[in-house]
Amino acid sequence: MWRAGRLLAILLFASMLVFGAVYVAPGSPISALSGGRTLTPEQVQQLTEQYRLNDPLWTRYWDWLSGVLTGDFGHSLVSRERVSTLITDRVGTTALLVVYATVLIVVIGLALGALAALRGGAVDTTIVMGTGAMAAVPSFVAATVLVAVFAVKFGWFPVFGDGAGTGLAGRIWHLTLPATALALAAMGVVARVTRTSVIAQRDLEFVQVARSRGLPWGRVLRRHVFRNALIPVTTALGITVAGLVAGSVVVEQAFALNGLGTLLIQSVTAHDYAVVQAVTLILVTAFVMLNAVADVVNPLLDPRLQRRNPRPQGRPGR
Amino acid sequence: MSVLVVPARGLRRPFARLAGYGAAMGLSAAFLVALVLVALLAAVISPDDPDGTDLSAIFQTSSAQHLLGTDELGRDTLSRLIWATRVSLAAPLLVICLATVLGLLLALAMAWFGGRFDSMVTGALDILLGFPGILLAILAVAFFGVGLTAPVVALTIAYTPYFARLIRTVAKQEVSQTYVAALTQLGYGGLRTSVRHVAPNILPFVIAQAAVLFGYATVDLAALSFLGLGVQPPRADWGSMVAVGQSGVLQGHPLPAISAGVIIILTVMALNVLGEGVAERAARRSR
Repeated sequence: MWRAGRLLAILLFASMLVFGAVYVAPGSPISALSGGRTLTPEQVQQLTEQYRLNDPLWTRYWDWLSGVLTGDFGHSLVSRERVSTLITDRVGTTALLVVYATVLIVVIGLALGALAALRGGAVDTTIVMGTGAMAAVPSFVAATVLVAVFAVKFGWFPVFGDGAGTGLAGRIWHLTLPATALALAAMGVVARVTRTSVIAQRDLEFVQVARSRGLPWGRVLRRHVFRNALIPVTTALGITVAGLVAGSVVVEQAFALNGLGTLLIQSVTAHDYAVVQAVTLILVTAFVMLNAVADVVNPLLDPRLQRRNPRPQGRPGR
Repeated sequence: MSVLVVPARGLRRPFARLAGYGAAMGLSAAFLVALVLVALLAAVISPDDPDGTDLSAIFQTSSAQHLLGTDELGRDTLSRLIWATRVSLAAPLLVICLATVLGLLLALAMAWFGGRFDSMVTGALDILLGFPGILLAILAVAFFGVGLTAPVVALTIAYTPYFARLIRTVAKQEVSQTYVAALTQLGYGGLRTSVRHVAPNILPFVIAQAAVLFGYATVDLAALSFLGLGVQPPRADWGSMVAVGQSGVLQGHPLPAISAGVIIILTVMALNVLGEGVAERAARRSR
């Protein structure tokens, strides 16, 4: 209940911020909305009507919000299309990119972390250093290196584009480099959290007991070590995967993918505020929801957590 | 038990103590000091004019004259990197200084007053934390125009709650110490005690957080410049150098873009190592 309330409060705040920014911006709302373009009196009239600049701020906010809740974000100033159409055309690419990156993070991150924790020695040292370096690689730098090596030098992957119209396999092939660039830093973080968590569980008494009872090691790992070690990992996963939503903006731009992030940057550059508002709000909503997923999943993994309050950790969301 | 702990730090020889810092920490600190020197002395050490184009010498590989080669306009990559160090370090530094001071003050107030004030601010910070920093910065650019001013302000707003939340926990522990009660008994006010006694005691923790978040701020600002929303040409920071270098990458000359990227990675790694090291030492000492 408390969590649902917090979620609603965050979304309400985000909607006010996104809506209010037009009116905080320097200059008159008209010039902000038109992005400094010279307007004919009719256009001013149309803008005034579309944004109902003569109505009080609160009624306008309320109308905008009720529109948003029914999926009506208004019209783009630049392309004149409905904002909702622009968004539905692009949301698939962004979603596929984030899901693909999430799969990479879960599979490779968990594997590296578990390997380091269970093998120890040189393997551990190598993985710790490697993941430490991975965690420091910004997505756009990773994108540049991946393109330079795997697209330009070896030609294994396409340089740009999201492979629309090439079927699912084609799209996945096109999105491999972008998803890797997006996932790399988070992979390092998740691997490190996994390693620490597995090491903490590995030597606990109940593990010793299970082993001395003669249970096969693989089964002890699956049933006892990993299950308990998973709690901090899902928390870290929730935060990092939520961060992917914001990070996708940069990666889409780097690979010229036609997703929400590219739409956002285009609209910022073109001062197309209805689109900026809509895309920002959608991305923030996705970010907040994904952040909350760990809070929902963890009590399922460990019922003892039911009553504990979640504590924020990690980095400022990106 | 804790009475018998030997103060090992003081007993060790200076050389051994230096080794205790860890080679990684020493290297990281040295790298960061070198970066600051490069930024300060850019005019002296830059081998070439960072904006001097030479269309007869574009995309050159490494040579004695151009150690890191030249870019698509024949500008010396090394000189451009050296000059870009200034804004690449200064902008995140500003964000971190502002956010640290604001976060520290907020955390001290929350720890000192506790109760209703504490829970109200905690709730407000919680809501602010729901907004990803880079989206806030993009939104700020959308309405206040491109350049670094809007992103620096936006990121300060986005980072302050993190500092406040993180420092609050430590500050609360510190405020419950007996020396604080003693100072209160002696009649010293909350402001004086918080700023002159509590704050210095939690400083190592604060610095550790600041170092790690410095790395994040560096990446966020570089990403904004990469998107074309931050530093505007002809000026450059590391992020915009990666962006401008994209055309070279596609033509098989990735050196300008990748050398800027490598500098970003090394800076973030050094800040992470330093932050984690300081945090570890602070935790060990307080135990």
